[in-house]
Amino acid sequence: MLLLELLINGLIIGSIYALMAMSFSLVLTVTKVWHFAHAGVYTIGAYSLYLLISRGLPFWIALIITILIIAALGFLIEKFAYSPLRNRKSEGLIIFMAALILNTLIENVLALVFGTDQKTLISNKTFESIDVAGITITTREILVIVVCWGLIFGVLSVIKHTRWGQSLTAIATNAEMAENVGINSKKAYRLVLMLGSVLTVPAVTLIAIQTGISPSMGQNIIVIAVVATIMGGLNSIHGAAIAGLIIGVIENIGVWKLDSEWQSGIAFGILFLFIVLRPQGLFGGKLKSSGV
Amino acid sequence: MDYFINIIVLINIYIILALSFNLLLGYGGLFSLAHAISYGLGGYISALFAIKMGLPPILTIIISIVSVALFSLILAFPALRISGDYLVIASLGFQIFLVQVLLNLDITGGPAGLPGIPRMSIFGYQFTSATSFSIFTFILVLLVVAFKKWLVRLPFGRVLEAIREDEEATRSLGKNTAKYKLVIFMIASGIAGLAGGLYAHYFQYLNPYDFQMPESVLILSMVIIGGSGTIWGPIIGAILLVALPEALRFISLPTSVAAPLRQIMYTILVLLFLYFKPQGIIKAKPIIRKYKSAKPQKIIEEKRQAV
Repeated sequence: MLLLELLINGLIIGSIYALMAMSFSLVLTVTKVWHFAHAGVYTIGAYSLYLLISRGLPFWIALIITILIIAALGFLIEKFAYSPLRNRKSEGLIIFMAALILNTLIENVLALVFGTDQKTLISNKTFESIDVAGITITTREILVIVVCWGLIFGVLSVIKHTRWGQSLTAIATNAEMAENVGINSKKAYRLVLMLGSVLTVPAVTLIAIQTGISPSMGQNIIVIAVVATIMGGLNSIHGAAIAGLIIGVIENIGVWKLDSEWQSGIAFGILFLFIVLRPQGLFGGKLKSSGV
Repeated sequence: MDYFINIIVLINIYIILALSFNLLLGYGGLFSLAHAISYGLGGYISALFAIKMGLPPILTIIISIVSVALFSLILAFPALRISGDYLVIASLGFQIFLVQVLLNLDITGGPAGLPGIPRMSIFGYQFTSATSFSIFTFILVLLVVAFKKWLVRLPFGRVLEAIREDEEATRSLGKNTAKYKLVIFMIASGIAGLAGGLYAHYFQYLNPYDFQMPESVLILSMVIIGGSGTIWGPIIGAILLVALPEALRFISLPTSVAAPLRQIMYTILVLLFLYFKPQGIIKAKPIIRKYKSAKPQKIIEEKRQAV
C-alpha cells in the first residue's frame, strides 16, 4: 500500500514536473535558448499571486492578473534579454550565461524585496479528501492532474494541428529556411516565450498552495526540467513532458528504498544514465548543438 | 589589517580558480558549470586526509589535485563523447549532486561543515600569519601562470588552440580531439583542486554551501568579465569580482539586505559585460590573424571572378 501511495504522490508531483519540463523544452526547441530564467519567471508568478492576494484580491482575479504579468514578463525577456544577443549572433555561451545570470538576478531581487523566509500563499488551506479504494486523494491533487495534463495536451495539439504550431516546428527545424517561406520568427519567439512563461503560473500556483513560497523555490524544478529535457530527447516537447512525469514517479518510489535526503540525487542518476547510455533521449531528438 | 590580507588570500585563490577555468573555456573551448565542486572536492579531500590520517597539508594538497583530476573524468568522459551542450548540462547535474553528497555524508560533517582543518605547513614551516600565507598563495599564482604559458607553448597547447579555432579541421589532421579535451579538463579540475586545498588549510573550515552552483557561475563570470583566452583577463576578473562586493561591507547593512545586494551588484555587472563588452576587459589576440585576414577574402574574390 505504501508503494501505491508513493506511486500516486509521484504521479502528482510528476505532472507538475511534466508541465514545467514541457514549457522549458518548448522554449529551448523553438528559440534554442537554455532558458534558465524560466525558474525566475516561475518564482515571480508565485510572488505576484502572494502580493495580490495579500492586498485582499480574490484568488481568481489575482490569478488572472498574474497570468497577464507573466505573459508580459516573457515578452520582455525575449525582447530585451535574448533577442539583442541573438541578433548580434552572439556565441551560444553568451546567451546561455545571460539566461543563467538573469535567473540569479531575479532570485536575489526577490530575496531583497521579500526576504528569504518561506511565505504561505493561502493561510488555513483545506482541501477535501476523497477515498478511492482505500487511498485518500485530495481535491488539490485531482486539480493538479487535470490542469497539468489538460494544458500539456492542449499545447501539444496546438503545436501539432494548427498553422501557428506548424510554423513553430518549422522554426525549430531551420529558422532561416522558415524565414524564407515567410514565417516571422521574431514574432514566434516572443509568443513562445509568452506561452512558456504563462504555463509556469498554474505549475507554481499548484505547488505554492501546498508548500508556500520562497525566492529559491525555482531552483529545484528548473533542474528537473533540464534533466527531463535531456531524458525526453532534445527537440522533443512531448518527450520532455513524459520524462518529467517519469522523474516524479522514480523520485517518489526511490524514497521507498533510499533515505529522503537522496531524493534529489535520483534525478542526476537518471541524467547520467541517459548521457552515458542514450544521449539522444527517450524520443531520439537529433543531437544538434546549440553552440554552447 | 588581517581583513585586507584575508581578501588578498581570497583574491589569490580566485585567481587560481579563474586561470584554471580559463584553461577550459579560453583554451579548451569547453564550458562547465562544475568548477566550484572541483574546488570544493579539492578542499574536502585535502582536509580529510590531513584530519583523519594526519598527513602534512602539502602532501594532502597533492593528493587532492590528483584525485580531483581523476574524478573529473567521471563527468568529462561520457559528456565529451557527445557535445559541448551535454557537458554543460552534465556538469550542472554533477555540481548539484555532489553538493548533496557533501551535505549528506557523515565524514564531511554535513551542513554543519568541517572544522579543525590543520594549517598549511611546508617541511616544518608553519604558515601561522596571514601575511606569509598570502605570499605563499601569490607564489602559487605565479606558478600557475608559468605552467599555463608553458602548456600553451607545448605541441599539446598548439593542438588545443587548433581545436578551439576549428575542431573539425583538427580532427581531419588525425588528432583525437576528444582526448585533448579530456586532458585539459583534468588539468583544469586538478588546479581547481589545488585552490580548494589552499582554501581549506587557510580558513580551516569548509562548508558545502560555499561550493554550490552560484560559485561556479562566479568563477565563470570572472573569466568572461576579464576576457577569456588571456592571462591577465581572469586575473583582473577575479580581483574585480572579489574586491567589489567587499566594498559593500564598509556600508553597514543587515545581512538580509547585504547578501542579496552583493549578488545583484555582481549579476548586473556581468550582464552589462555580456551585452556591451562580451569579449571582456582584455581581448584575446586572434591566434591565426595573420593568415586569416587575407586568404578567405581572396578566395571568395577569385571564385566570384571565375563565375
